[in-house]
Amino acid sequence: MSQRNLLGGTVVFAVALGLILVGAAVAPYAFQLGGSAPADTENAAKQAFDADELVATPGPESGDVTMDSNAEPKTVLIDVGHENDVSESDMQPLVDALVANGHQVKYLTREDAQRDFNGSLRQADAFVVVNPEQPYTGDQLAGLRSFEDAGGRVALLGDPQSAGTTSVLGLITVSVSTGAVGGDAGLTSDYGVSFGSSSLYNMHDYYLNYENVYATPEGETALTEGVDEVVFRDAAPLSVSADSVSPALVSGGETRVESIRKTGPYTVAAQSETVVAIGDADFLAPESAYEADNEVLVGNLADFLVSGDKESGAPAPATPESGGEPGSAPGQGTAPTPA
Amino acid sequence: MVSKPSSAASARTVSVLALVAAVLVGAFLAPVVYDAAAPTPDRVAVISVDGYISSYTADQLEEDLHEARENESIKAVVLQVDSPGGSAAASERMYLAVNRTAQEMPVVSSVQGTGASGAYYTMLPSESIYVTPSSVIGSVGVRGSAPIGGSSNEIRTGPDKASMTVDQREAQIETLKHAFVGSVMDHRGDDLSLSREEVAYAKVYTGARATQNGYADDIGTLQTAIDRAAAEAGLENYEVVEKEPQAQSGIILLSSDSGDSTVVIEESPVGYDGVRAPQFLMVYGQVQYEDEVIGNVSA
Repeated sequence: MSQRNLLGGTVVFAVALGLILVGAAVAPYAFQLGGSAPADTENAAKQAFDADELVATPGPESGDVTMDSNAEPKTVLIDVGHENDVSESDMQPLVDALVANGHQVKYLTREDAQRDFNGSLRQADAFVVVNPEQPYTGDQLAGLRSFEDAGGRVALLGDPQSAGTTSVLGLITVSVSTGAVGGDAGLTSDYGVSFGSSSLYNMHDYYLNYENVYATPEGETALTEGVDEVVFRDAAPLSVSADSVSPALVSGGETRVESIRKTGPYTVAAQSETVVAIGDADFLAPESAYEADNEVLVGNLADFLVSGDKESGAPAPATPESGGEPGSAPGQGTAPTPA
Repeated sequence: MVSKPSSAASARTVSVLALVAAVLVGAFLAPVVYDAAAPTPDRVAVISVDGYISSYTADQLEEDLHEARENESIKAVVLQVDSPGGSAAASERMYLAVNRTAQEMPVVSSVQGTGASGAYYTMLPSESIYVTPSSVIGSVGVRGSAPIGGSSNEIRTGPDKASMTVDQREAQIETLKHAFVGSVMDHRGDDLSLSREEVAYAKVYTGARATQNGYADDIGTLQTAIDRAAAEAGLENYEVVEKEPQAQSGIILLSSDSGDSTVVIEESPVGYDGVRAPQFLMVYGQVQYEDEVIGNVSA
């Protein structure tokens, strides 16, 4: 092989290789220059959602719990002696309003209830029951009835029963209807009111969550004076049968009961001259007491509690003739001793 | 005179060697050139959406769909779905990825077992949704843990730093519900016989019922969905390429308890080790965590 041939071959090889390598190096840039349009920068995600239409905003927490009445100082007794599912902080707005207006608030402990239930009631003008989880004895119910007959005020507040538990205020009924008190009706049925066990909800008109239902006044009751609309979180429907009891607050027409999905409206609060029944206790808590007109309702409830003029000395001490044995619900655990 | 024959022989040798080299190089390059020059067969990509939807699942789907959009041979996508949903954030990401892909090529979904909540969200932009009678789809809703109380042994710069009010949490969950339900109505409103409120109940439906109320389009298998996707793309001859998700380990445990599907979150799919961060879920089934606030009846 001559040097000329070798040189020529080498030159050709080098040039060809150089062209290939240069071409390979330039190609990516050429593809990029002539390649994709900047369409990918378009924000397709933003087109899928309109933030202004999506955002749910909590309403303002406003107002104060005020009382209108100028009643003489009264004593309000709050039951915490029947394993009541309520804490003192849950009732703080109501208690604060009562105390600020010169009234006294006491708590009925388990020991008080067992030792001298009637004696505790005798010193009170109003009795508040929230979510009791232990049955009342027959004597206790008899004493409470005497208390109310004498002009004492009674407030019954109950949330829907949670899964696996028994209807709280239903216990009152059960403990008597099965008990040894001789045909006495239960407390709530005495008043022609019974509490439903399933929650209300509304998929059409609600406050932030379908379980937070609105209720508006029905008729004219002192309990709803100044109230346009309240919010109940996890409310129970009430069934009102007695003529002496008037529905006070009613949920919207498209409210349903969760268990059976039957459409309302449903009564969620009722009032007679001496008794108020409300199928929700959460509205008393500080977190809910200032939503919508809830603070007006709390104030009206406080006014109701001090509106009575109970006869002194009622209820009388329990006697064997008045009922004797404690009523106890089957399977309800330890029954308290008679009052 | 003596050198002439030698020079000619040398030139021939060079030519022969060059020819051999050319053949060898050509043999090596020819298949590459052939493949590059030959027309690429059209493809339908089958992409799995399987199990609990986490950020990892969303990463995988986004990657697969990005590849489908970039690969010119892929003309249509079929989502092979068997999932109860999962993290709300991941579900939204997957919905958006499918939505973008559906703007460029036909996307058809086939529900193998369950296509509920976040998985249904993912399928919404599909041209068609195929189910079998035992498929379970729907559950259009959001759920999340209730606010956690602030700790007294720490100092915070603001009242909502560690927690928030129930109202605020409910508002957040309601906002996510608006997005989910709104997307369902946008994509399937014309087909649905249910109102917005009925959709928001978050009920699940079995396949046959879902074809009646518009949650799904028809009864069909995966092959039905592939055929439909190819037809939508105008393909007669095509290949099917399947993209299986890589196994994910150690985060989510699926178990069965009394016949009900139970999702146990060992680590928060949207939280972090040592921190109980708020969780928003778009999942169907029993979720075990404390103090749950449910955005809908059976989300």
